[in-house]
Amino acid sequence: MTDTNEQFSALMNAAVDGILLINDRGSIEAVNSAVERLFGYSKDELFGKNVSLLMPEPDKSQHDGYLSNYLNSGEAKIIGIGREVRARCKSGKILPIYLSVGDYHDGNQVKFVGIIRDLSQQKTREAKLAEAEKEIHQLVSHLAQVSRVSVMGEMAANIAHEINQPLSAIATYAQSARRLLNVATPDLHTLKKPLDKIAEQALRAGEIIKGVRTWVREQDTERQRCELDKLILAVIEIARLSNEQDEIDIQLELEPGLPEVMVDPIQLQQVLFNLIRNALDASKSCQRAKSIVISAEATSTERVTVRVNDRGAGIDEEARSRIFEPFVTTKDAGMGMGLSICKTIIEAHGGELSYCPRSEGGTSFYFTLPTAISTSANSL
Amino acid sequence: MTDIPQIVYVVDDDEAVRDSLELLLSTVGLNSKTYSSALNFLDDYAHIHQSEQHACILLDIRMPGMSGIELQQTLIERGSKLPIIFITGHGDIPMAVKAIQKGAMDFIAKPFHDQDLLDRIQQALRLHAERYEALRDSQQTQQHLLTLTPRESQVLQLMLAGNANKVIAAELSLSQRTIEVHRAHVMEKMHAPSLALLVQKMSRLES
Repeated sequence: MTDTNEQFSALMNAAVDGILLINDRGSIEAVNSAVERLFGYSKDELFGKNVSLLMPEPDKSQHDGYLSNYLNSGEAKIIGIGREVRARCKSGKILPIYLSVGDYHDGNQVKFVGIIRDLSQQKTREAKLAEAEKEIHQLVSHLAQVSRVSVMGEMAANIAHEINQPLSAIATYAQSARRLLNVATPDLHTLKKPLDKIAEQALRAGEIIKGVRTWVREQDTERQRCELDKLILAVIEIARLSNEQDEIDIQLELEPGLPEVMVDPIQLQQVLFNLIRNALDASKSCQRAKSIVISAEATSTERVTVRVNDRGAGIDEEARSRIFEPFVTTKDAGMGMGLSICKTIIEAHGGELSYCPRSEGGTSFYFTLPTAISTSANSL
Repeated sequence: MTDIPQIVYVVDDDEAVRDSLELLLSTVGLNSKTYSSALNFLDDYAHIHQSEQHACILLDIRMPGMSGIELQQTLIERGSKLPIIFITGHGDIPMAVKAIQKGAMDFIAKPFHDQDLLDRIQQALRLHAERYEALRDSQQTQQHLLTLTPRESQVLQLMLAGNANKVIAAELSLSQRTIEVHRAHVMEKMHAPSLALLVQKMSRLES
């Protein structure tokens, strides 16, 4: 027959969880090997020591109180239940553990057994998971931002399609009317219908254009104080996504301490995104121009100026005077809506959008905005 | 060919575009029928398919629901012979190119010149007439072939291979005189005034 003590000791030391025995004063009477492993103390270093040695504050200084409270009142906070707590290793490292405690009577003395499960691996996994979730969340909100900011391009395509319908109908009605007249004795009454329809469709085209302005104005409600540099940085992040192989270098020159502006952040970002994308497009089609510069400075206490400079081919003479008009474009696949909408947005914010050719080649598009201070002063 | 009536099917989701096209076509005496969606057109397709008219489709490439391209695909699957002219808007050119690759006859961008459109429509109607006649000819040839006796069929095959009567007679162990009689029957039954026309009829049948 094997010695019971030996069996007991083997059982204790085989346990993966730490097992620890204390008396009613909190002194450690026995520990298994897992406790040594977890905390970095040897058995000899622990025997007779107060168990609070293994705890960080505030538990460390309050543990004696917890014990006497339980012994006096019998009110269990952890005994028979178990919970997640923090433990302190010899090295000072804090360990997340799951601690379950049971009590028993040794003669007339109450003693406690603590079983300690190391949660650090589980915690690491949970933290990683949480981080991954956070990243996904950021990505999703980033994507939502991208789609809000790039919606203008999509809208321009829709407008071009929408407006093409009445234009096309007008052309066909007019050509039909001409054919109806092109006979020996034309019946003038037959012209009434196509003429009525032409008038109707011309008004329909006008409504679509009006709709664009309303779309811009309807969003006016979202104005708030914004830090200009943060808005710019966020747009550049998005623009970098569309600048795939990083073929164009996007440089930033932001004056420190830029004043806040009172704007609809989404609209302002749409404008910036458009200007940056135009600059990227202009740079891509030109060999020498492989960088664009976005700069912002306060030109007075009341106004800030934001510039987007490229070193592209510039705007041809012909398009210069009409570049902000709807449906004027210098791109092969462009709708000619972007700059027109940008101008409407900037002007709705009390600013101006303009451009100039640069002496070293390329184009500088710039807009001014009133600062938040001047905006609130004006509205008083 | 000219006594068969003509019709242009217009499929476009925009009411004003449909209505103006109908008016334009009427000024040159062309009948048209308009549909506001690809599905509406398909609903009517059984009827259209059986129609004896020379026809073509003027099809808007970009429509809500089933697009013009999707309708084209469906019609290809159903073996339609109707020539399609796509109407495209701004920026639809890549789509139009695909449509042409899949066999559309042409495309025209909105807004269009009336004469350009009418020329294309005339071309499409001619194309349909040709396809229609080719189909009818091939069906007739098929019918004529069925009236031949087994011996006449043999003679026909040897004739198409370019053999002279003497060779055919030797091949079939018949007299040259008998072959001449068979040959006359074949030409008559096949409604072929010359050997050249007979070969042409038969080659169209195979394609």
